[in-house]
Amino acid sequence: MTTTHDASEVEVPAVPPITPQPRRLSKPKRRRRLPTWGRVACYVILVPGALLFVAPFAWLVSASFQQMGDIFSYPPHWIPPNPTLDGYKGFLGIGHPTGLNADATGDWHWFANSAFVATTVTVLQLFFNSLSAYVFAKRKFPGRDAIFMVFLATMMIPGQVTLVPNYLVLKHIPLFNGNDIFGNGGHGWLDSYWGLIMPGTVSAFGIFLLRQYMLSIPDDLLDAARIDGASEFRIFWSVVLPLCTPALAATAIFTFQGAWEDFLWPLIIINDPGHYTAPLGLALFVVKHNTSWNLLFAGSVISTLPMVVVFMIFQRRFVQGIALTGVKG
Amino acid sequence: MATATLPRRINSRKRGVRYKFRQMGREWNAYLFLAPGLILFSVFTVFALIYAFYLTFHEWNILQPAKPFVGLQNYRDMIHDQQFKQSVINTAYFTGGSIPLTMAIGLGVALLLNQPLRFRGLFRTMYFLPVVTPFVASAILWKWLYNGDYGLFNFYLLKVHLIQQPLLFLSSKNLAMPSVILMAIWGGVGFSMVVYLAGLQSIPEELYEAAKIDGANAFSRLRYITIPMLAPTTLFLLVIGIIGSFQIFTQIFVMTGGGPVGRTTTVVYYIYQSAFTYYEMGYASTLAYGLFVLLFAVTLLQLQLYRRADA
Amino acid sequence: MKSPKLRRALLAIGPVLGLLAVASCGGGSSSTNTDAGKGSGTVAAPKKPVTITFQSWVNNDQMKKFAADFHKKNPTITIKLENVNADSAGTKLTTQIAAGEAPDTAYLDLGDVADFASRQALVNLDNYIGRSTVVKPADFIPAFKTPVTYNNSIWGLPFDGETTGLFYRTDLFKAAGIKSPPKTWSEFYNDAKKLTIPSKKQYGFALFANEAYYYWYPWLYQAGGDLLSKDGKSIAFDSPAAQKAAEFYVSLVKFAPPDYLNSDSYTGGAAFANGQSAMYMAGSWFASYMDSSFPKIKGKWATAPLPSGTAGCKTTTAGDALVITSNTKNADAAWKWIEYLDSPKNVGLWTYGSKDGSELPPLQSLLGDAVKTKPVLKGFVDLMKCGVSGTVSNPKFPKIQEALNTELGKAFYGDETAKQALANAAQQGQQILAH
Repeated sequence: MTTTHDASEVEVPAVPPITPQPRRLSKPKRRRRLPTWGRVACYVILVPGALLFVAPFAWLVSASFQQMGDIFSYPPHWIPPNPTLDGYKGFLGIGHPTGLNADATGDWHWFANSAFVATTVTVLQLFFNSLSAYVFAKRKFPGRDAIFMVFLATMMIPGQVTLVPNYLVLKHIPLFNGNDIFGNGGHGWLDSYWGLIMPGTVSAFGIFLLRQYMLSIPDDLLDAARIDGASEFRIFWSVVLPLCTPALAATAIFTFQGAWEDFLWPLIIINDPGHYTAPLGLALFVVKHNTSWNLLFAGSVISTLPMVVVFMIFQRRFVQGIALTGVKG
Repeated sequence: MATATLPRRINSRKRGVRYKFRQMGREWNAYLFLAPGLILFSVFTVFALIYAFYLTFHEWNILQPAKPFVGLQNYRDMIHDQQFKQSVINTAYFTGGSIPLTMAIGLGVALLLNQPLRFRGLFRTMYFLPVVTPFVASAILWKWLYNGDYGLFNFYLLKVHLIQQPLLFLSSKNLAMPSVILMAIWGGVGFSMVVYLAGLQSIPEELYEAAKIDGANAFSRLRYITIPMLAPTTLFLLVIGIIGSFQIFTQIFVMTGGGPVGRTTTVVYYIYQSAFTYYEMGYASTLAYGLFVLLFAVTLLQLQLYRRADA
Repeated sequence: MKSPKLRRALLAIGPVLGLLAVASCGGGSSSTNTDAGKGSGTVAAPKKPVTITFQSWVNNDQMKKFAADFHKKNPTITIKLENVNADSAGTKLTTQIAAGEAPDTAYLDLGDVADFASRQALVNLDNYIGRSTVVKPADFIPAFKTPVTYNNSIWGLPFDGETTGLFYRTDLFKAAGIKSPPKTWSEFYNDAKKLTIPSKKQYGFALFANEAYYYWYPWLYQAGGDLLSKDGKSIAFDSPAAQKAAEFYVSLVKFAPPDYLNSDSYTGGAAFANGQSAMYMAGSWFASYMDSSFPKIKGKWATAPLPSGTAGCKTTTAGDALVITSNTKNADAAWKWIEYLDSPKNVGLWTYGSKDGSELPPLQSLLGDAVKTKPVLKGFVDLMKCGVSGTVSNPKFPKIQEALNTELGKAFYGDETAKQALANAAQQGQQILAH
């Protein structure tokens, strides 16, 4: 371990990659080879399994290119018999899709709103979660375990009963949208980006994951930085966070997905079509007694694809990120 | 190293109040770090929970502002509520059916994908795909797959003559819950796999080398090294999995609507019905706290068992 | 977690308790909902510009046209349409009402109007109706007037409606040698039997456990039964007449396509379209659903009134109403809007007058025109006079209904007899009523 003598050096992670996982060291040894029969056996199990796991999604993609009448035909089509982009055009509200209800067209703004909300929630949550996770993992102060327990316990209450109270809280946020200092008179954060974003900016699950990861960072590393006179925030920002990149990446995916998929909350608080998110827009296609399935499927594909690509590229980092270190608290 | 740095329990020794205050003063910036998270958390989560707790002693039909105080009536009702009992049993059935299988399959896939194989990344992505498929989309999809007349499952099962008659997956009393479980497994294996892969990678290779020298075969290496070393990972998956599966809602809502004849009505589905169909918010909150007590007990039990086994 | 820890945890979140006090005094709406609209003469539009929100799951092009046209006629009132999907409309509206954030006006299921009114969530429309030259309650068809009436006042304007009728596959009837749709219960039973050919995956009549109660009601009324006693204080659906209806209804299960038993009448439409169910009971909405989603079977199906029982021709009705919530600050402007929508001309445009629309106007004066415009609706229009509103304005009824549904579902699955199902449901219902 390098002992840094100057605080400014701490800023640049001069520390050699003392990653919490020793696997880097043992990696070369992993380059062992499997016997041929072993490899064949692996593939024999893996390939059919993988196909089963992908099949529903593959069908979803195929259906999104089909016309309404073809989607639920029997026997099912894996290749669209009459391929069409109607679902996509309709979902994004561009061009003139044929064979759809004139009312049931989407708007690419919903997609943009979702991207904005999900990104903001992810960035803010990573920051606030890691701040809390850091003190839970690395600081000793009275009340720590009790507060941590409360955080964890909240994961066990279903959101269905907190819906109405949370709505009330949002309405009474002081000084926003006509509210006075006591939060009365106006609408607070209802029907706004604030309302979509702020309730999601801290998550017990995210804190829990990050804390588990941070526990494995050696204390000596932090003590060394302290001796060098680095401020607490600098230690957090320049020593701890860089070491946590894999864990941050992992939680980022879950957070982003959660925020992206969220449906009931946006539905309840948003009235203005200008604030619609993609799932909300999607749901509104499910008009009473008339569902534009191809549109719904196209929307689903569009909203899943970014996550698939991100996972494919980062899957190795991602796996490292969840390299947890035990759940014993 | 993986399991070496456990948090040191600092409150194990009782100290005086004055000491505690001094410590609080010394560690003031820890509270500062915690403040943003804690404030947001208090406003958006803890407040709602306290409010819900307050409601458990009241009757509230949501539409009216009046919330008459009813004391412990809601709790008494809950204890005698047959529907609640049934929903707990259904939820336990779901959890017992889905969690072990999800974890076992996840472990199996992880073991295979930890081998030096070609297209590892592609395989991982394929198994992970269901995790990122939107909830609502996958529910609609599965509902269609299960369809008795033009669903894919029956189409292929009939084709290979495994069955003579189409199976009524979601309409049969005994098949509905297994069908929901199957879908949950499909959606959950990817996550288990990723977490197990992570766990596998933190097992020191040296252990295997030593075992090989001692002449241990692949099976005993799995039995005596891999599985014990994965115990913390397994515990983590179990705790998170049970918390999640006790709260299953969306799949039920979209797939079966709690039917047939209440066979798939889970606790949270029943809570939702109480709140928004029967307008009994006070009672719904009570049920939620009932679920909380149950989950808390189960979680503590797991941790306790784990500690004992570990000691 | 030992109690000292808990106490410390509570201390940490103590400040939040303060907020509790703030929020719990929110959400109250004043009880002025019966005073709204006092005065005489036509209600005047406000002088200052106001915005009226309208929440519905049907804010389609026609509704947008209405809103624009209304704004042209009343420049000081702007209509803001708020969309919500049908499945979650109830959840959203109740949450909004709880927080005092409800929209000024809403499109509400007829079955919910009395319930919402009884909980003081709506504005009493009596004063306004008294001053209106457009809305005439005498013109409301009785089956649609009952659900919007609570405590002898009117709380919503019926906007569209439907009756439950019989759909049947003409091709399958022909193949089975049946000349005309069944007119009595025994004909119905025999036809269903004849049409059930499991080897061809063909069944006589579709039943749905998820909606078991709803499609039982017509049989109940036809047998001369009722849901509650006249005073609304006790359960009546376990009477001998009701038992007869339930036994007949449950006996049809053997002619129902089994895979749709845990489905609903919307999803089950596929069974009718694929020829798996030769007969189908549904509202007139089903006609436009078939036309738009399954154009391939056009010409192979027709509609008919439900068969008659000992009490004559009876059917259930459903529909939607326009309401003003007690939350509104501009009741007058809100009234102008729903009054505009509920004028005979606009009701016509909204129901049978729209392109795919197959809903019925809930106004007596429009029935003739409806049949002229859309002949397929004739059977349903004829049923209007047999319509019994299947809703009971008792706030506890949804829960009773749920119990009834579960028990009838059990009877479908053979867990108990129809008679037992009614007895069990009645027992639970009595408990709920007494609670």
